[in-house]
Amino acid sequence: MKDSHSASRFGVNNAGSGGAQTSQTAASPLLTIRGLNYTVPGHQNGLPVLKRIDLSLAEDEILGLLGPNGCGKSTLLRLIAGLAQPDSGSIIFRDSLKKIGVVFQHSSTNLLAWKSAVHNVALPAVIGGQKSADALRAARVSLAEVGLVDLAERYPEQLSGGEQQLVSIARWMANRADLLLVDEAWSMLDFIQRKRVYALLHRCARPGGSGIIVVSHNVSEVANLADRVLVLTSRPATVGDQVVFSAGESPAQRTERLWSSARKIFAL
Amino acid sequence: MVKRPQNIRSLALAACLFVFVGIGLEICGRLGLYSNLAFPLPSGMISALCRLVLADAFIANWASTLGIWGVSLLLGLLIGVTLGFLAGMDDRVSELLTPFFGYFRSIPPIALFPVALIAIGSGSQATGMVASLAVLLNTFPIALVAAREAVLRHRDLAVSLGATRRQFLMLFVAPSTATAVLAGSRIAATLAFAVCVAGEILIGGRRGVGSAILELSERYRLEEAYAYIFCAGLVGVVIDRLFAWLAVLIKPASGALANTEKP
Repeated sequence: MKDSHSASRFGVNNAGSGGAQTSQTAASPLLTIRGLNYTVPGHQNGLPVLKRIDLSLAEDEILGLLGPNGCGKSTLLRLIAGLAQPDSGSIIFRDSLKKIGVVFQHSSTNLLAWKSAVHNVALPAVIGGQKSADALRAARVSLAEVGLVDLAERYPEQLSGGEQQLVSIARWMANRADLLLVDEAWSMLDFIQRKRVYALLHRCARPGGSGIIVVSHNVSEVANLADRVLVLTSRPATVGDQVVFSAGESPAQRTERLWSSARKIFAL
Repeated sequence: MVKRPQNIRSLALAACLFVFVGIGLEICGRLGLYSNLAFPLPSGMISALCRLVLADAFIANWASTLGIWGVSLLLGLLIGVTLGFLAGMDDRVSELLTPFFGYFRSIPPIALFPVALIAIGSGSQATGMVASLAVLLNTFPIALVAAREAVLRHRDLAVSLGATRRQFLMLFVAPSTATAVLAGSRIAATLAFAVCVAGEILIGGRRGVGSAILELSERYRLEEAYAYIFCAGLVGVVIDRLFAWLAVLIKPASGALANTEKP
């Protein structure tokens, strides 16, 4: 079953769930993907989306996935999160990886409409069995970090699109994930909020923190946020190029290098 | 919350219309434009109602009818919502139950009275069974669709948060479907009440509002019979308003705006 629609998967830890997902030990990368293939079922003979994807993610690293619309960036995140099963290939997590956090592209998927912002942020802790008062306290701190503590008691419908995205991100600030998958989570944020989110993600990826994979189709954005960017080709997506940034590079240099890679792959 | 004054206004308008029609009927009846043997004078009905309210039999009849209604509503809701949730969360259960419920849903509840009469015999149990079935058949598809939509909407988040199946049901599916299920319950509650009264008239035996209406009309005590019918209508409206009030109460808990304040 490529994409389990049954509820039988609930309760299975994301790390190591799914037939193709295994784990590894010691100082290995946080995540290693080898020869990953995925075809969307339902079409005639299926619709190939991902073809022989190889990638690895180190601890404390921010990896960017850049590609055109519909190339399969979000699908790759779903496969890593265990929300769909690949046709073939392997997704290997480090043994120490306990929690995968996902910030979905759409706020309606991220937030429960009947819970206030603070309760939405506290949700992973509540599900994990943490005391409600402790979870809510941590959630308020996290909301303060993203500048939304005054809106903590508001329901998602009472928040703007950008504020909803910030709440989704705040959830994983309060409940640290070893691996954080972020799917275009700032499309509705203004430039001030974006700056704040970038800073928060960098803080998450500090030594001893999380590995982060961010999906974007905005070249300058992903160039300035990620340590390394994989440029995916059009569907079926393969890794067309890899751009590794050094700490000393200016934002303009990073953007130009990524643009030149994109120009090469997409013949722009 | 915002609609409350509007609801009160609409209820007040309905009451005004009711009084206006009552006065019209009283005048027409006194002028002899219709026979009082076919329809009693409203003033006669009001005085009959005043007499009935003080009688023990009136209270006992209402207690019996509302008791059957309450039990059958609870039973029908419990089974209907449970089966609807199971079918909404599991395609195999849905495939098994949907054709069965699809067929029975097209049958009006009143057509089930002969079956209940044969299966159980006359009396409150048969009435309760038909009322429960009416509630069940009405609630099941609503719960199924609501649960299915909730599963589609929240499955990814629940899986990514590592929720157990029980947590998924309690924290995601149940709150998400609350408004839809309550809306279905509102219809089911008034339907069950109508079925209870009708059932007592048709197969109900010797107790309850329906059997009292039948008995009084057979004895040509039409003023009292219509007083009972008037009360039944009033109770039906109260039931409907009660569930409407519950729907408003539960809205913040199921995702609608908690208040009208805009960010």
